[in-house]
Amino acid sequence: MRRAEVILSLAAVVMAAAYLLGSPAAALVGIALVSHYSLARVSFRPRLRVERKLPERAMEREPVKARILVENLSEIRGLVRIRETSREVFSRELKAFLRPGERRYLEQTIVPLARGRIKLMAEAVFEDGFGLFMRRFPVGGDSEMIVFPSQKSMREAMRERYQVEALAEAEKALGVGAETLDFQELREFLPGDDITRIDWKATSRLQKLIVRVFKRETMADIYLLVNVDPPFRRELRRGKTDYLVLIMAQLIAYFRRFGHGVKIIAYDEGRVVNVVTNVRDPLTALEKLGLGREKGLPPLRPSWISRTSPLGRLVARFRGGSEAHGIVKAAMKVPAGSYVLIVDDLGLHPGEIIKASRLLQRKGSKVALLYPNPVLFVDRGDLRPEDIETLYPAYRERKELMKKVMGRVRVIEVGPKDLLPMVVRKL
Amino acid sequence: MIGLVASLLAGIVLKKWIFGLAVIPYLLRLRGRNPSLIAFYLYVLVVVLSLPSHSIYTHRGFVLAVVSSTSVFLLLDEILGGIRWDRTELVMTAVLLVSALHDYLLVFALIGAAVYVTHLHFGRAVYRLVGWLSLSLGLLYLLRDRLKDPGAQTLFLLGLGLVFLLLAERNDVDFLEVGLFEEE
Repeated sequence: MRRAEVILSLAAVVMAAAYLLGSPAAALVGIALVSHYSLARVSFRPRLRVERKLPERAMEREPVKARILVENLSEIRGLVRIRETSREVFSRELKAFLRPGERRYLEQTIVPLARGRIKLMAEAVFEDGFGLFMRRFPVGGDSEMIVFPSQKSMREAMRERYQVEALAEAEKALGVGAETLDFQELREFLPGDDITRIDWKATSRLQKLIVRVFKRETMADIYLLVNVDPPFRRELRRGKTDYLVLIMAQLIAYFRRFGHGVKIIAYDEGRVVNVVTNVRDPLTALEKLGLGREKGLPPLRPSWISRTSPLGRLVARFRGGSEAHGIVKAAMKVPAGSYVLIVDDLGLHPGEIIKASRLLQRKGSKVALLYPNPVLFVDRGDLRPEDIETLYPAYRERKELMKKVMGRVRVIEVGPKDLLPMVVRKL
Repeated sequence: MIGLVASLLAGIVLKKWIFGLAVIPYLLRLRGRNPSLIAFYLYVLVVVLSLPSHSIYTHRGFVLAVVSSTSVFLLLDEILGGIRWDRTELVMTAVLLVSALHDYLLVFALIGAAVYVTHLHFGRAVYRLVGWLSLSLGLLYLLRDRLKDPGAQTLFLLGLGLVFLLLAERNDVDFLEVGLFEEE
């Protein structure tokens, strides 16, 4: 219903009636209606100043207060409605009745619904005091806000997160050495062990977590394909802690404990760097690999799954003697029907990882990728809010990439929490 | 409150009880603007159909035309703008009540009230109303010999009234759209 149109139609009817009845009094009544409408319309020249001050930072789904200055610069009184049009936040409509020249501060409660850097859009509508006309005005001032995930949502996400026991999962992914029902021994609980195997009687007797170990059908050899390229080393070498060394030591110890033979093939971008066979203990193996320190910043954002450019292929040929990537060359060295665990960053060269996995699968080998996500290895102690803004997109992109690759190769994401917690804490 | 008092006084002076129906839109205004406007719509139609056709140059015709039109103007202003009970309203109501002792006194009091209310709510636009009133009265006086028939007077007044619409069209506005039963 448009009130202005109601008045105009009434005036038209009255004027027609006046004409038909020949009544000057009725004509003046019609004129009274038209004149009131016309005077309201002529005087409707609103000028409004609306400025909003937003808080710079906010938490997801936690209300924040914005301060809005509204000033009626026109000569007429009216009602100002301020409403938020962005779908990334929730906010109730604000109303204020303003006299000519009146200035007022309003408080708006905003509930952010999205995370990251969000854009807010509000509009102010000025209605005249008679409820006949309106005009829209832009809301000036701040229009952006940074929204962090709330503690509550993070807690919920952590609760939902499937607790990955990286080593056990790697073993499961490879399907190596299936257990039989024959009991073998009792031993101390190790990270990655299935908690359903805990022997509670032995645990209470010895006051240590003890698990039951069953005999395995086969004791196959495990091939560890390890990337020792500088960018990957940079990602996992943080301060005093060399996480790659930690991962390798843990993998070797874990598989050796179960009686598997471990062989390591180290590769970089263009070639196979080293092959270590008959790995007996982690320290000797790591010494043979000679993992040095790399300086510089790690690349956190992932690369795209795409074919290498002609220039890239030329560089690879020049550096490694052929166009094939080091991981593909390493995969070619693995005998058919082996159990292969690749330790590499999926974000560095996803296309090459997929290519090598396909090659191994075609040869009848079982493959899994142990993917230390560099974003998870970033030192939390030195993090600033600005760093989170750059880390978060990198993390999201890496998660999307992981989803894409998961259909082609089994990926096990690893963070510092998946490594020996006590060792990490000591370091 | 002036709109209601003006309408009731118009009914007393013109001896037409139909003006007493102004109470209905007035009371509905307490509930909301829209129901009150609909009641006002019906009220105006009933009032217009009850008005006799008298020449504006006669005493009875002049009083009838001015009193009925100004009371409708003031009632419409009250219905759209809201009911007020401030000091100014009370003073103006008292002036209207006192002026009702004489027909012409009431005519001038109603015109004065309409001009004052226009000044109060529309600011400088009041000059347009005063200008139009002056122009209309002047022309009506000059053409008093040619406009003897009430039909001719009606047509002439309607022509003059449409000048307002021409003025209003110069200002581009958006009409406010509201739900019929929307609460305020």
